[in-house]
Amino acid sequence: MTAAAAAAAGAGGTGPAGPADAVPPGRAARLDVQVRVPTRDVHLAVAPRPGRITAVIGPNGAGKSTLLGAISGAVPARGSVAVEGREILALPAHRRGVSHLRQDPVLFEHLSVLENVAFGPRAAGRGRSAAHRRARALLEEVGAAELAPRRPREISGGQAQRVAIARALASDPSLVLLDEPFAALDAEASTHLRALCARMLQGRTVLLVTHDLLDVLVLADDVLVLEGGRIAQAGERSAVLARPRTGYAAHLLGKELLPGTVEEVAGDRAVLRTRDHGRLVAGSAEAGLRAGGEALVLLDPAAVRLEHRGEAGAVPADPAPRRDAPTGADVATTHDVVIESLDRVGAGIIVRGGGLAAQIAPERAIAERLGIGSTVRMILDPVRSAIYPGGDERDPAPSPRPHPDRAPRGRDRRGA
Amino acid sequence: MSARTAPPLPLGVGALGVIAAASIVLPLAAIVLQVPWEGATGLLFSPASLQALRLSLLTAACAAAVCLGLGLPLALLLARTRFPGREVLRAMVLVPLVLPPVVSGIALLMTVGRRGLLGPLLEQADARIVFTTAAVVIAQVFVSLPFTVLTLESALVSAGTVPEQVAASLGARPSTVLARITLPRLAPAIVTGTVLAFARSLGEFGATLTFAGSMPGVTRTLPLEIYLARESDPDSAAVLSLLLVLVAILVVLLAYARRGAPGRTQEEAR
Repeated sequence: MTAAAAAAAGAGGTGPAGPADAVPPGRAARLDVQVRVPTRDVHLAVAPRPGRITAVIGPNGAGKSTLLGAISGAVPARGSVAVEGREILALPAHRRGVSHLRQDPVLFEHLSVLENVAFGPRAAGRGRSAAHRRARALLEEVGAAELAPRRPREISGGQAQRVAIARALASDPSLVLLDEPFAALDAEASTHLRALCARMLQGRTVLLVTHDLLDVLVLADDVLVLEGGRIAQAGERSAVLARPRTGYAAHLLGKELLPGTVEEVAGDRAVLRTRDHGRLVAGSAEAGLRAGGEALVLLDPAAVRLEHRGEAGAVPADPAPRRDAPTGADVATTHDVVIESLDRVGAGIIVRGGGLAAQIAPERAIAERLGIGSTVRMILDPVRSAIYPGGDERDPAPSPRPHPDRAPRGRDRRGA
Repeated sequence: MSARTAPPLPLGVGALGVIAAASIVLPLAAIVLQVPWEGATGLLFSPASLQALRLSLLTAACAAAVCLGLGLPLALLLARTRFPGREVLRAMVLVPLVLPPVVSGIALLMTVGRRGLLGPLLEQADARIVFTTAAVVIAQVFVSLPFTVLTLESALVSAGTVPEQVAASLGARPSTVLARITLPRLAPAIVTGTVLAFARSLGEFGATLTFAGSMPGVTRTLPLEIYLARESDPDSAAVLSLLLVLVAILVVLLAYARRGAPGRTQEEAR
């Protein structure tokens, strides 16, 4: 954690109060996590900024839910989890003061909506009427006051998740964990709930696991990218999204990330040789590049021009046709590739081949009969392909290299 | 519900199925049809019958209560904890279900009889169990407990622990989670498990006779009374049998006919 972030924690009282009083409601708790879950090969050291929402992203199996489980107590872990300096890892889940909201709202079916929300306050020892008052206030806040007397099975999924949010906040958690809270909802319900969360979670320390770019854009202040049980990148949202260091984060933005080595740097231009296909790619050079060093090129498929060259079947099968290969200055911007896959992104289609990608309109794919096996020429726009140092870059695949237990990438947090 | 879409079965299956159904329904129907209806009430309310009936209801209710009180903790241990020997214990719980009742009676004699495993201990405490009403209840608990434990355990397993985890994350301590989440969710299984234990206890015969004997008013329950009456007064035996058949049907309806009864969730869990 940076000094600025520590200061943002404000007047965080760390008095030895009971678990329910450790952090007053809505207070931005300072969280310091250094956990190991050897059975899942997860080693993470995380110190999210207090009072901010940190999105935790990464491919399946990266350790996102394991991280939340270790903090909430659902997953046994070793190491340390400190909230406001108070060690909670050895405590049972009910004494941690950590609310864990899941994709499935898991309302208690045998209790009314009101009693569901009042459950936390009552468990904390509040009287029935005081707990009900608090529950009504929270239901009001999430816009579900009229649902109070209903049973969970009588309300919709979106309403249930609203109630779950109210219930999670009713117990005055010092920390809120969200695990893909909107993934099971339709678009309209999730839009409403996202806005609701943005309002309700303001000023709280929140970890939000998601696969949805919208969650990151609407809710997150910071982004933590996990890969293979380790931190791949961490920092302010704008910094992480502008210069992703993992294929996963790049794909979340509809971009392609190609690792490689710098071939040459000339002013604001650089040429990189990709690691996977040995392709030369020109782009705009960012500070810190040096010839021979490791770097990443962030490719915007929407900025790649595509020309249909025919069917691979029509010419001798050749995975990387060189007959007609571009020469001279074009060598780093023009590439002939065979399409290997098509993907949908928004209203467009991303065609991939030879490690490159281009975005086209679906109508064009139909009109030109573009499909897997088609040979295309991709012409990159160097101005819209950023090349930045990637020396720190880990393997996109789970790293076989040994990793220190505590390896937050402070470098990425410098801007925070 | 899937009957409409299920592919047709070979003809032989139907025929055998009818035979199977008949072998269950026919004897039940026989009792109803063969009972000497004239004077049935007189036989039913004879002092000996009433005494046996009262004792049966009393002991079966006690046994059902004990089964619930002890079966619930055991079911929770089996379903929600991991300890060495858990699988073995789980299998052992099933044994009384398949044991001949007379063997159960002998096993109990060997446990709390005068020369039994705990005999010296009980003698010291000056507690005599064998051939008392308490022995009837013990015999009934021994044979009925598996029904309660199995019903509750499978309901616990199929219910999962996610609501409990959520309750804990909301700050509920284990006793609160048990009282406010686990038990209410388990209510249908608790009813079923208790009713089944009551029914099995009501019908207990072999273990009771072996372990508790057949003293009128003390250990002679309804099934024993029926067995003894069979020789001296067959009509009375038939009427009392009908009574137990009706109780059995009532119990089955109570335990399984309700929607969402654990009988269904057990099936789904498999």
